[in-house]
Parts: sequence; structure tokens; C-alpha cells
Amino acid sequence: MSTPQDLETYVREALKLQGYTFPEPEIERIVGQLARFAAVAKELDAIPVPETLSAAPVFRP
Amino acid sequence: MNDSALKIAADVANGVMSAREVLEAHLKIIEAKERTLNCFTARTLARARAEAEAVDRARSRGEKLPPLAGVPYAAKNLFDIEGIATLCGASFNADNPPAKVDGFLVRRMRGAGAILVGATNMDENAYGFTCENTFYGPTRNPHDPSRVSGGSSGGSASAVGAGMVPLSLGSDTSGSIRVPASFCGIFGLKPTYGRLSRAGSLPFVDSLDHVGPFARSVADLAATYDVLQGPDADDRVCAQRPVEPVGTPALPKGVRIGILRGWFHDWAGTAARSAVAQAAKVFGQVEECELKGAEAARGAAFLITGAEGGALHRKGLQKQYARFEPASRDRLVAGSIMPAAWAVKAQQVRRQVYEEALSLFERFDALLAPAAPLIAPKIGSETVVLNGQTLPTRASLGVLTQPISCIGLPALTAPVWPDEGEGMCVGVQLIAAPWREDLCLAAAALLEQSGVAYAKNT
Repeated sequence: MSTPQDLETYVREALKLQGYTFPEPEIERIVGQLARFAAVAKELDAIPVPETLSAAPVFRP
Repeated sequence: MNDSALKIAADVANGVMSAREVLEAHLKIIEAKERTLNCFTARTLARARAEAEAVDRARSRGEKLPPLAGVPYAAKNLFDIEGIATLCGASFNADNPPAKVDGFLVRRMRGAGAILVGATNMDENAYGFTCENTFYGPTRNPHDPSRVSGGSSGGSASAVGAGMVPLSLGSDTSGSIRVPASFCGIFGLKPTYGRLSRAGSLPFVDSLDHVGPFARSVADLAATYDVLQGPDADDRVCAQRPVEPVGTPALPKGVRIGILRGWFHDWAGTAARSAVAQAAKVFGQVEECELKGAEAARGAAFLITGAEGGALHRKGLQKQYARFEPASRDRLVAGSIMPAAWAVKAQQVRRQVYEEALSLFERFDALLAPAAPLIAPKIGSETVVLNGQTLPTRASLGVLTQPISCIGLPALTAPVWPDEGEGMCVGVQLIAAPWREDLCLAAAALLEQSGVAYAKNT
């Protein structure tokens, strides 16, 4: 998802796949929210982690 | 009436006041303040009177009373309360049948003799930091009703801040105990992830959800926390640890306190920085330190919350989107369609930051940081300015609490009232290694004894 257009396309297709139907203004808001998630995800993606690092939640007793 | 929970319990046990008299005094305060503050979504008056009378009967029979006998309290409306629907702040949950039994923590409070007066307001689905609920109205700040109470446990925090009840229960996924405690000027404890059972409460983000108490003093908070502890097979993440009572918390000599800088300084406003400075003076010898990856932990919490919260509510969003909170429903949908790789990476980063945090606890027993970046914003504020950036209010007030809950550490908000705070509170977080809630409470007790942290009467 390198461009805003990619993001919007992704959102529209993912909404279809998940069975959501929304009016246009809602879709635009959802695109805006996913853009915020995407910005954070990009920052996290730049952090190197060992391949063996567990993705499990912490403190599972 | 701002008597402490422990004084009330002692007075009831000694016959100075009956539990019924204590209850009626608190109901009067609730009656007087509720119209302004909007803390409650339901009041359980018949139950409260029955519970109070049961305490009084037990005393008249000469029975030894449990530790919180006769103490009124309230519970966030995500905890099951027998006989009323568990709302979790959502209008659509009002259609649900009433809960058949109390949730685990409510049962614990009942067993301790506490008197439940009602269920409190919250951000819908615990997704927000302001307690501005479109359907149930905003809960207002007891020290300035033009300001938010903080969220998502705003009703519980405001009720304690206003003296309606001396104790309440809340939940904290990303800061929902610590932020409202900071804004409402009271003490709030988010224990270690897995310490207290969440059974009988509606979930939001399973891998981040915590539950805990609010109080007006450290002794009350500690006593309540002790009552709530214990393993519970009905919550699969609840640790199978014995009760580790904190009793009367006191900081051991030579304790090492680190002040978190970096992220926790950069995102704190003037009043929050002043609150930390005041607290630091009390501890004397303190050393600055940094939690490497705090920003990443905050980001990870943001993504995990979106992914897990969105997944939890996906079917509801498909069927009845219009009934969800307008201020957060688009974020929930976005979370539900997030690529899985983002959430997995967030979990890995979370583990990495957790390891960093553990290394800090080799040098320090407890860490000090602001609990909120600023004083409570005005109700209706769409944006706040933090670290020179204009950001959405509802999603941003947990910027200093999210990195800590992301890695499950116990953290306590202690209320500080800096000169720069316009008469409002900015709390400080006292953070310890996993399972060391005793140190959080002991550090808070020292701040309280020094007069730096206290709950102000309204």
C-alpha cells in the first residue's frame, strides 16, 4: 500500500470481502482510519526483530 | 462525606454508623451530583439497601465483618451485575437480557462486604479516553464539569473524585484506569496483566485488557486490591498465583526510582512535567532513564487494539453499524480489515520492548512517568496539541499509558496538583516489574504521606 489510492482500493476490496456495505462518507472515514494504522505499521515494520521472536502476547501464565 | 473506605469499614464494625446510614449518606451525594456529572447508567438501590441491611444484621449477631463491610462502591458497566444488562457503554447492549450472576470482581467485593450502588458510564466498548458517550452522554469531571472525566472508565473515576463513593472498579486496556484517575484527581491501579480475573466482564482487547480499582487514598486502594486478588479458572489469562497481599504498603529503604525520560518527557505538557518533578523530589535520589522502544510499544498497542477490537466487533459492525458509537466505529472497522502481518509484527515488537523493560528493572525498583500528557480537556474538544502536533483527542490521551499496558506492567496513577494545572490534577504513573504491585502502592504511599499526591475534595 504505497499510495493513498492503493489504500483506498484495499479498503474497498476488504470491505467487500468482509461483507460490509457502507455509504460513501463512511468509507472515506474508514480509509482515513486505516491510513493512521498504516502509518504506525510502517514505523513498526522498520524495526528489526529476530525471526525467532515470539509474537505471543506477554505474561501468558 | 469523604470518609475513606477503611474508616467507613471501621465505623461500621465499631457501631459508630450503620451500613444503612453510610449508604443513605452516599446516596444523597449521588442524588445531588449525578445530574451534573452523569456518572451512572444504572443505580442498584434495592440491592444496595439489601446488602447494607445484611451487613448490619451480621454485626448485630456479633459476627466478624469482612474488610470492606458497609463501604459503598460502583462498578464500570462492563462488569456483569446480576439483574441488569451489561452495557459496556453500547446502546445495542441495552437489548441484552440482564446478567444472571455477578462478575468475578463484583462477587469479590460482595464477599468483602462492600455495597454496590450502581453501574457507571464509559466510552463505548472501552474504546476512548474521554468518556464522551454519544448514547449515554458525557461523564463530567468532578473538579470542573466543563471538562471530560477521562476514559474509558470515566464514570467510575468521576464518582470517586466527587465523593459519591469511596471506591469503584474499572478496566484498563490502554490507560482507561490511569487516564481518568489522572483527570479526576484520584488513585487508580492497573495491576500486572493476568493478576486480576476479568471473568464476568465484557472484553475489548483480550491480550491487553486489565481490570482494577479506583480509590481516594493508597490505603483504600491497597485494601481493595487485596480483596480482588486470587486465581480464577474462568479467565484463562488469570495467573495461577496465590494472593500476595500488600497490606499497608511501605517503601523499603534504598529503593531505586528511575524517572522515565525520552518519550514520556517529550509527550508531556508543562503541567505533567511539573507533576513528575514534584514527585521526583519526594523520592530524593532519582536517576533519569529511558524505556527504549516506548514509541514502538505505543504503536504496537494502537495496532493490536485495532486488530483485536475490530475482530471482536466485526459481526456487530456488519449487522448494526449505525448503532455503534460514531466516534469510534470507523476505527473499529478499519481495525477489522487490517492486514494480519501488521498485528503480528506489533506483537513481536511488544515482546521486544517487554525485554527492554525487564532490563530497566535490573537497575530500578520502580519507574516514574506522567500518567497523562495534560489536564483534562474541555468536553467536545476534537483535537489536542501534544508535542507540537495537533492530534485527535479521543485517541491520543493515552499516549503515555499505552506503552506500559502494552507490555503488561503494573502501574498506578497517583494524583498530583501542579501549579501549572489550572486547579486540575495531572497524575503520575508509578510503574514496577511484573507482579510487583506492592512497589507501585508503596511508592504512591510515600507521595501521599509527603502531601504531593492526594485526592482533593469537591
